[in-house]
Amino acid sequence: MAQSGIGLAASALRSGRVGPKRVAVRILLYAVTVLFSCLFIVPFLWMISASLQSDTFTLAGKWFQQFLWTNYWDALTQEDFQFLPALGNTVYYTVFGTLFFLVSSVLVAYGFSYFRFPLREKLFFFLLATMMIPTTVMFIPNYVMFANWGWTGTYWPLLIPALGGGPATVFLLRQFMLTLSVSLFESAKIDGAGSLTILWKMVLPNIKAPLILILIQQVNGHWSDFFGPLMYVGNDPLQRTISVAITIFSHVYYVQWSYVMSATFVMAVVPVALYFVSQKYLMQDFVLSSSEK
Amino acid sequence: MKWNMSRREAAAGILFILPWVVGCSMFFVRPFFMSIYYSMTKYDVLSPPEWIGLRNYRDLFLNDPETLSSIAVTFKFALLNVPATFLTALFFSVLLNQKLKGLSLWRTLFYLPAVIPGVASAVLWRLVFAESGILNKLTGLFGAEPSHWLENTATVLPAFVIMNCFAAGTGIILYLGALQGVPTILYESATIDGAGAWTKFTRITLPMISPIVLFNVVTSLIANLQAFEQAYVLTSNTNDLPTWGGPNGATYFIFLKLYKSAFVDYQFGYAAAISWVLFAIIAVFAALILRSSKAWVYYENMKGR
Repeated sequence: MAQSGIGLAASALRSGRVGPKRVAVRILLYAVTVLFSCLFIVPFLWMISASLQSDTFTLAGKWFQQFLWTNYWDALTQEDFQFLPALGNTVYYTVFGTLFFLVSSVLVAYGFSYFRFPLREKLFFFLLATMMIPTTVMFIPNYVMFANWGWTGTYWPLLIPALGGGPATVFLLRQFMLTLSVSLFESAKIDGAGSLTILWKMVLPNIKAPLILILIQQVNGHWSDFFGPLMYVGNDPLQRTISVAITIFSHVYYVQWSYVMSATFVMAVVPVALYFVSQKYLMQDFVLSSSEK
Repeated sequence: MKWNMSRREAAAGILFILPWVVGCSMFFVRPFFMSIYYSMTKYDVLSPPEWIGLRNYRDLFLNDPETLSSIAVTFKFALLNVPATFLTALFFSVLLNQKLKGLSLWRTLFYLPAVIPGVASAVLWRLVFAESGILNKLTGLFGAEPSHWLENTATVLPAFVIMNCFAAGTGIILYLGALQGVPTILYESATIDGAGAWTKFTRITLPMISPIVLFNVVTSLIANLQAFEQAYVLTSNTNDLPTWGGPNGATYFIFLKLYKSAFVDYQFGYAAAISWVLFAIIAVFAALILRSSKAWVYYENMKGR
């Protein structure tokens, strides 16, 4: 239908197939696209600029006046900021939160997919129903319980619930598992393979794409999490995550923007890198959009 | 599914789903009912909860102007933000659907801001909104006076909306996917019938993508009614003089009020009551949109029913 590209449009104009009005529209479309897509990454560039120059330039609204790469090292080792421990804590939370969540979601989905047991359909319906309910009303009682257990100030209140898996993820994995052929498993079973061997050797290799997608989503979710760590772990300089550290450090009266922006860049670069790595899975992302962390 | 039905199979299955059964009972079912109970008590965690019936709910609506204003502010924000981000996403997805060259590059550039973690993005936007920040530079090009975006009650919500429009990438990709799924034959036959671009857009494009619009509008509305992060990072201050949802309460959202009641004022019973009010608001809005959707969402495979 439409011609693609200015070149094509121009040649079409020469051959007399389309009018000059149509060429003007194409040029306008490209102009608007280029303009706005550049505009969209301006804040990102502004962050990089602010992380590399001294604050005087940033606060005067000047761009890329200096390239002080040492700002990154200084931010990491800055004493009040304690960014290095925060980075370590965030990695710890991300790795174990993701691992716990993924392993248990896989096991639960496996149980719901291939095993028959009493009340299975009813339990699965209940699992789907829990997806619909916002968790807003749960977090006060959960906090109270963990506080009574003396778990506040640690990551356990965030990691232990991850061991229960997540309903949307279980649902998605089950849908993929049910597409696999059961006859393969039966013959493996006759050969004496246990359930876990079948899961590991025959099921998981066949659902790699959704697994990678969930993995990336979970890494991003834990890495970016703010509310959970703020509520449970709080603001102890040696315990907090980068999201909390950055927030607190941006709340002081004289903000040291170059350090804050260096830390912000480090925080932002992980999901951005994951995005580029995972682009081919991107379109499937939307199956999970309503997702849980 | 045809493994021989046996007790061993049932036992294995139950063992596999056990993590979810335990997790769901402990961290979902139990707190769900406990929060009903807590909402009817006075509770500071240190001493046992004290039963006070519906007093929290009465106080919330009659004796606490903070709660009422936080509900009003949240509505105002959601009613500005949901349409603005929807229109932004729709505009750019339609733009990218014009068979442009280098689509994957443009798509990446538009999506990039949406990938950045919420806190990182909010902190970054504080610099954008600064007095000599790039937003004032930009509006200055059009002759506007520099504004203190985040310190002015009139501009702070629009500032939040602008920030969220930049993160509309998820919606852009989502709608773009939907647009690419609209059969071209519909447009071709409309052209033959002499329909203009606008007619094609309103009569074909919008109805065809309306199921995706419904999904996105509902999820973003639910998220906006629970807005917290941006107001905590940008317009609250936790260090020297604590302020919450400034300036002058203009971004003091319900969730912020809920957070403060629990973790700053130690009124866990009252906070639980607020959480139920928020829950009810979300449920009502979601139900309203879903009911109205019968009038504006078009399901192709339900034609003629």
